[in-house]
Formats: sequence, C-alpha cells, structure tokens
Amino acid sequence: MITLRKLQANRKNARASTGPKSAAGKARSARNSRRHGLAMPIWSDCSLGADAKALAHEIAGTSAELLAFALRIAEAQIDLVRVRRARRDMIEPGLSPYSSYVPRKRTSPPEELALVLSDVAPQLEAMDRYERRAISRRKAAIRAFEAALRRIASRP
Amino acid sequence: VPGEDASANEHLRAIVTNTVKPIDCVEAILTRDFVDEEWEILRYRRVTANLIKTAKAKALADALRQVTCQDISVDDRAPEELASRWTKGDQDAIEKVRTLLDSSELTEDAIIAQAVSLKLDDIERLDRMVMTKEVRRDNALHEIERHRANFGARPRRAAEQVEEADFCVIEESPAGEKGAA
Repeated sequence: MITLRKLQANRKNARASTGPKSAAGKARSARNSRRHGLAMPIWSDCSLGADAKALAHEIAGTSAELLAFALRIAEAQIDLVRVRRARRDMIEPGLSPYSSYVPRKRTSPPEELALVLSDVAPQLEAMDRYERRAISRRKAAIRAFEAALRRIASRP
Repeated sequence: VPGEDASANEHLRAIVTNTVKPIDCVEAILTRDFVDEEWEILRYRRVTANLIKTAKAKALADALRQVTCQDISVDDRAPEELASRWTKGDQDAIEKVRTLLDSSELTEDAIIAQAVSLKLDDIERLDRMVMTKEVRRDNALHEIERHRANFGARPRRAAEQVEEADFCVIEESPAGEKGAA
C-alpha cells in the first residue's frame, strides 16, 4: 500500500509524461515507428495522388468510362515507382562521400556499390513484398481495364 | 544509382523501346518495367562479380599465411600487403604470389573459390534477387505480348465494323465538271 502523498506524486508525474504537447511534436512522434512508409496508401501523399490521377488520365485518354479502371492501374504503378525509389534511397546514402560504410581508399566505385548493396541486401529483399504486391495489383488492374475496353469496343 | 553508367541505362532503354515500339500508355509502362528489371539484373550480376573481387584479397592473404617460403623478402612476408598489391595488378606481386602458390600447389581458381566461400551468404541472396528479377522481366514481356494481342483484336473489330457498314455508291461525276467532289 502506497501513501497518499506518493499516489498524488505518481499521478502528477504521469500527467507530465504523456508525450509531446505541441502539434509539431505530435506529428514527429507519430512517425516514430515509421520505416519506409510503403504500407501506406499513395493517396495519403498529395503529390503521389496527383501523379496517379495524371497517369490515369493519360491511360484512359478521353474516355470517362475507362477512367476508374485506369486509376487502378495508375495507383499500382505509382506505388511501384515509390517502392523502387525507396530501394534506391536505401542504397544511395552508403555511396555518399560522407558515408563511413566502406573503406573508401581501398575500393573502386563499383566495389563500393557491391559492398553497400551486399550490406543492405537483407532489407532490400524484405522490401520486395511491397513490389510484388504492387505488380500483382497492376496486373489485375490491366486485365480489368482491357475487359472494359473490349466491352466498349463490342458495343454496336 | 551513383557509380553506374547513366548513358548505358539510356542506351538500354532506347534499344528496348525501339524494338518493342509501345503503342499505348499501358505498353509504355510495361516496357519501362522490362528495362528496369533488366537493369537491376545487370546491376546485381556486376555486384556479385565485384563482391568476389573485394573478397579475393582477403582470400589470398589467408592462403599466403599458410604458405611458407624462405625466398621472399621480409617486406613481402606481410600477406595483406602482398595480396593488396596483387589485386591492384602489381607485376612484381603477381610473380611472387604465383611462386608462392605454385610452391604449395595452389592455383588462382582456389583463391577465387575461397573468395566465393567468404561471401557465400551475400552471393546466394543476390542470386535469389536476380532470379526474382528475371521472372518479373519475363512477365513484363509476356504482359506486353498479351496486351498487344488484345489490342490487335480492337483494330480488327474496327475493320470488321467498317466492312459491315452500309456504303452508298457515289457515282462518278462527269469529266471536266468543275467543283466535282
């Protein structure tokens, strides 16, 4: 059994330890467990969403009927581009002149790339599932797009 | 990626695009996929070769440590130093290494094998990544072919529609009449 004084002190301390108070602090701590953000839908990023819409319009052309199908292809494609960009971002820091990844004086640039890539290869391999999913979604979206196209073309 | 030849990438892209000649946006996406996968396959193969190259010095140093030869100078007894000079193509070091390896009935192939064994886990992982990429590259090509086959049906359908349509016969206008259509 703890004393009343200790209980009050505990409660007071607990109230002071409930994480960041400011909006910026909350935003920062919300990203504490974020690793690459590849599990998030592309629509959570305004610029990626805009890219997907632009690509969808390019795929659908002038057909409003095809736009929804084209949007599915575009979404998967932009997701794929995002995964590939994340993979490149994982390799590049190791090749920066300020990196301490590899003993620079003893290796040529291709050897540096080999050492850096072999170092991050386990993470790259783990990241592969996002790429596999995006490709699979794009494949299904292309099939649906083609089916819609055939339906439109077969109309009298 | 830094350290890679951007012009070689552009060249590969141009060759594939000129060969495939994508007819629409979907084909352009799939063609780009094919190029990206092929480029990554080439990257991983280069990386595997360079990884073995980086391990060769250590493999040689390990082998030299086990070799005893009274004829070499004191400086050259440092195996790392000799191995490093050997990998850089120093003729003197190459000769000395050859003598040392001959004396213990070792060949350069044995050093390469040792280098591979030092990096076996990494090489196996890269190999798996190459295999995945190869499958995806082939799938991209397959998808282009399939998509083109579907689109080939569309112009055919359009052609059929044109053939089935009713035509009105336009009579030939009298010769010399001005403004004839």
